[in-house]
Amino acid sequence: MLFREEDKAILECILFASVEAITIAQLAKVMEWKKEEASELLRVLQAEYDERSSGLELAEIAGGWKLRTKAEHASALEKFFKPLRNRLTKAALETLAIIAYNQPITKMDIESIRGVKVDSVVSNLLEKGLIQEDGRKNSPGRPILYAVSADFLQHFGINSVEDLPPLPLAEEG
Amino acid sequence: MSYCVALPCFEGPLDLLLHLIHKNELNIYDIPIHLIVDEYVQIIASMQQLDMEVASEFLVMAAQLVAIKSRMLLPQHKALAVEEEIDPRQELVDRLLEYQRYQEVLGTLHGMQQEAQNNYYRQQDEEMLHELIANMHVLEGIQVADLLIYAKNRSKELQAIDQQLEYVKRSYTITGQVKFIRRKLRENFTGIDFCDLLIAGERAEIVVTFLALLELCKYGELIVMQDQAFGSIIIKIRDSEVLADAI
Repeated sequence: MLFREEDKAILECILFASVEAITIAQLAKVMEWKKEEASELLRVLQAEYDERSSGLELAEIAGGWKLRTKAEHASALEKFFKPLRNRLTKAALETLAIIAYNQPITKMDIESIRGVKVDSVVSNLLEKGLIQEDGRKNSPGRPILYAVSADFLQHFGINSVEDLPPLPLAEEG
Repeated sequence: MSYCVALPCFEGPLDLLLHLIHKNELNIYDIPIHLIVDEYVQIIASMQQLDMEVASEFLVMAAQLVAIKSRMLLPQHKALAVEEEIDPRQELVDRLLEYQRYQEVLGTLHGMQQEAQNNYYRQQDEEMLHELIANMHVLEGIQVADLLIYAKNRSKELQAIDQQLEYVKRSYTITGQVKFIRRKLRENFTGIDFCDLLIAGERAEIVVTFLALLELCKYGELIVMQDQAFGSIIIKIRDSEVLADAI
């Protein structure tokens, strides 16, 4: 199937050149492929990367598909791209967790769980692109609602917030 | 944001309380308030440099703890005691439990982010972004001739300013400029160009007059028109009676 080989090559090009995660819906719309076709091409390409000992792999992440380096080469890459690692403070991680499990959520609701003001943490997370505004709540003052972003998903290596570990239930006293 | 006490770092009063509860191996459902209050207050006292915003939250919690303690010490009124008693600690316990749920996943999340950083992705190409922005047509529809006109007007303005040999510092107030605009508009019912409102052409005058213009817009007294970007701003009275009333 020569035609499909070409499609697969095109798909590889798109994935190679893209910064954002590519979704099946996008491929279907722009390339005029059937959704099942696009999905199958992705799987085939993914398997190919796994079989040939490539440094890259095709991952389902941040709500779509992305090419990325395999984890086993991390230490080598670290030498090359030193400043890439960034760690979040405990306050930032705590706030992110509260947003991710309750989104969309207002600053006030985050504060009532954390017991601390969150203005600076929230603006910091916005600046880092890990969260984004997600409309306004229909309550007095119409406060801004916050939700996690695609960058958040990538930062934690997941495809959607559903992939987060389940929040432990509050024990009954 | 976080506050460092002794060695461990606490994110807030709830964090500190949970730490104390775990350290002393206390039952979260039956917190010996008197013990906790003493230790909590001690730690607060040992806070050295006060970060006011965070510190105030710690203090609020200290006050709440003391309030709970005193409520527990008070004898129960018999008549009231028959009704179902609410433990004064209940609300605090609920908040601690809720907070603790998130604490429990933090370790896993931290591990996940460490792991995820072993995969490298294509980085955003800043040069491409610059190009994208450069290709946006903010000035679409504006002809070279228009630009010449703007440039000419601008240089006239600048010349006019240069010609003012004597420099007198004037102060402008929004109320003053509001009155001034109203007076000008009474003289010119057909409308007036914003530039004609400026006498000295100083920056402060332009800014304050513009603010006054916005103020009047807010009152609904004006109709303001600008037919294209950088074009002249034409101001008209919306309703002459409103103006008469206002004066």
